[in-house]
Amino acid sequence: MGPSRVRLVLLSMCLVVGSGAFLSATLVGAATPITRPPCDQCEEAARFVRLQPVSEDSYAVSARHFTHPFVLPPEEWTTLLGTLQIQRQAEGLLFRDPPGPVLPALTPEDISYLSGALSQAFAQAQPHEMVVFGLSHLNAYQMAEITTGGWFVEGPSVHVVLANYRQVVTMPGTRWLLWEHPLRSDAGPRYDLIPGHHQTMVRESSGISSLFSSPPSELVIAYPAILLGESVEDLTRQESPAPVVEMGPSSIAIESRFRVLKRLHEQGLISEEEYRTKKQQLLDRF
Amino acid sequence: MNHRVRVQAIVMLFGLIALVGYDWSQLTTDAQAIPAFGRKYGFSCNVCHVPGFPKLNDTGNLFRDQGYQLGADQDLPTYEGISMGYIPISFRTTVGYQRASVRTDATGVTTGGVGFTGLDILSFGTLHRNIAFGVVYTPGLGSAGFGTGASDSDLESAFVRLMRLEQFLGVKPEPGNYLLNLKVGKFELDVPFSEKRSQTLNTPFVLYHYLPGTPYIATISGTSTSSYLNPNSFAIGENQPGFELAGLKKTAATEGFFRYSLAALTTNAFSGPLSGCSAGTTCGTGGRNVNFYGHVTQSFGGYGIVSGHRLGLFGAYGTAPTVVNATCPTCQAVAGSGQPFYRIGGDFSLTYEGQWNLFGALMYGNDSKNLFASQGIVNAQRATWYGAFVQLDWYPTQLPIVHMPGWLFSYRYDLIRNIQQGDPTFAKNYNNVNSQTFMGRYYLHQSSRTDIALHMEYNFYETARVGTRGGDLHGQTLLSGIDFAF
Repeated sequence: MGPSRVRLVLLSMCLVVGSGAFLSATLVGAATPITRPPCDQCEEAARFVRLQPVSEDSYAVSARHFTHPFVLPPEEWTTLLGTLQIQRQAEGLLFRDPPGPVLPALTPEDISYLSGALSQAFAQAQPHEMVVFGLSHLNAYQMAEITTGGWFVEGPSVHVVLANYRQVVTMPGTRWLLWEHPLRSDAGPRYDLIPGHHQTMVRESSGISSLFSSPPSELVIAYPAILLGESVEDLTRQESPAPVVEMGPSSIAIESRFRVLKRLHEQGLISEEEYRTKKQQLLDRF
Repeated sequence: MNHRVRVQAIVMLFGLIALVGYDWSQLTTDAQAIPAFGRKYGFSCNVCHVPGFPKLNDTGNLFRDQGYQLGADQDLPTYEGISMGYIPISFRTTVGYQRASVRTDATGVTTGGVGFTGLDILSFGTLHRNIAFGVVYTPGLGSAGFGTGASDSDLESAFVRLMRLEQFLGVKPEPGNYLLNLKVGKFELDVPFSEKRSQTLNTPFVLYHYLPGTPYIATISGTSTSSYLNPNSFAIGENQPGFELAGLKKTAATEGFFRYSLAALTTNAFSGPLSGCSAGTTCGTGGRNVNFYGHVTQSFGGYGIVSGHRLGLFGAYGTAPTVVNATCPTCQAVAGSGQPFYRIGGDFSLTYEGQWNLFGALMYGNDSKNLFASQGIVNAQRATWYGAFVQLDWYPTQLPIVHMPGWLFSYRYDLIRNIQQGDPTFAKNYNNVNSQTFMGRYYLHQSSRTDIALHMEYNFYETARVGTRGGDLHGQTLLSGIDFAF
């Protein structure tokens, strides 16, 4: 191989590798995160819940400081997880499909597993750590469908980031990648979390990466309101006792609400005055 | 942003612009990727492809072998849940820059320019349960390729495939087994490794196309390299019209698959060099002769492309017409004038950790003496040769150090060694080929709708003693750009 040929090859290689490096570093580049399992059952072959420092992956939450550790019993996680809804995005260029139906995001089996694992994980989480998760199921074609994402708590809000939802994976390398980088979207989300009551969506564009893929879907859950089964306004209303609040089918028993209310107060998430007002409202319902 | 970072960013951006506008070749191969299936099933491309399509992974190969079926209602074109976004047609081309140079006998030519590799319009799918089809159309283009002028349109492939015919023989179909499938039409043979799904866009598998007497590079700037007449134009790498019986069976003992393909073919081309053909006329040589091709493989511990390993044997036998049809030189040649040829070979594929694939093939070829004697070659003799290639693909989960996924790197070495020439006046090593190819691809974006990959491919090759003054031919091609399919 002559010198000119060598230069030509090297130049081409440098261009491709350099350009790819530039783009992919902008998009995803991240070493395998250093994580720790918070419980024995948190690391299984087909599902996991781990604690992961926010600086260890590319999702742009590193500047935040979380309200961790965070204590929420499994049954209350069950309530929160049961409120998550998902919808397939509208797709198509020439012939655009309408969005899919709004469906529960998690199966009862997933909710049962995540409730216990998230409860333990958040109890041990540090302010710089996210709780990441992965779930794998076989679909009707016997192909693995992988769902991954992360959770964190900021003040009175639980945030859930959905990076991949039922992403069909056949390559072992792709599975490894999603399992080790649960906040990385494999081919852009085709599903969105749909905000319900006391939930709002956050979607941030992150520079050049937004040219090629949508950012992960992030949902903010005002968990005190959901756990109390009432509107946010009710929590801070200072006037006369509120009229009877309409109870949703997922409302929990009043006794449980007292416990939730007490813990919110102890954790400083509601003021003394809000605590007293809300407590009186609950007592008035007897 | 400080000055140094800004400079680095600008340099990188210029690098990217230079890449997109850099170098691309004339030996482009047709390659396929079918995002229509992604749209149909809601899959991203890496469900069926290794990173940086079009190479199929194990799932993609099985999907193809099973007649583009997953065994679900969704397979059917009449499935009521099929979305409006599903259009069963895909497009593919590559845009960028190509540079090519070839030299022999101390002269040569270098070309370069921005262009594209042509356009494929693809449609594959099912007509009904266990009835698959495929059509590949390449439209005629007024300015095809990298400044290579106009191109003709062609229906490169058109077939219907009837699956699971074993049930008509009283064999109950078992999940995952497709024992007897009949394909009719024009299609790619079941070659050891599909050239249509090869990621090397610019570099054909040499042994798939090699013909004794015809140099790998036939012309340089319109000047023919030295050659001798061979009426046989059969090449296993060309799409062929005919019938194919094929099957796939899970083998529990090996935790793999047994595959077979037996094809009866009419011809692969309707033109070739023939004595008795008047100057300026392209005489026909094809048709009326039936050629046969077969390939069997057994895999172990998987399909053998991403997981497990695979061994195979393949071969072809046929006859090539040798006499021009005097009343119609451009028609098919005279029936009954065929002289025999055969090819036989073996192939292998080894994988490691789902990220490495080493595969290759070795083939022996024999064109009979009378093929050359019929062309008036004095002291004609049979032409024998062997060809081989070995390719190493690496699709890292993440690139080391920089931890980037979505890359595919390949290296391939192709060779041809002639044992005996059909024309004894030509040296034994005449038309021996050495070809090396380096390729890198990066999955810029993939979804259930589209594929986009950055592509760089460099190939250099040497062909012995094909110059008009007997010199060796040296060539190189460089292709850089963006490969996309929709």
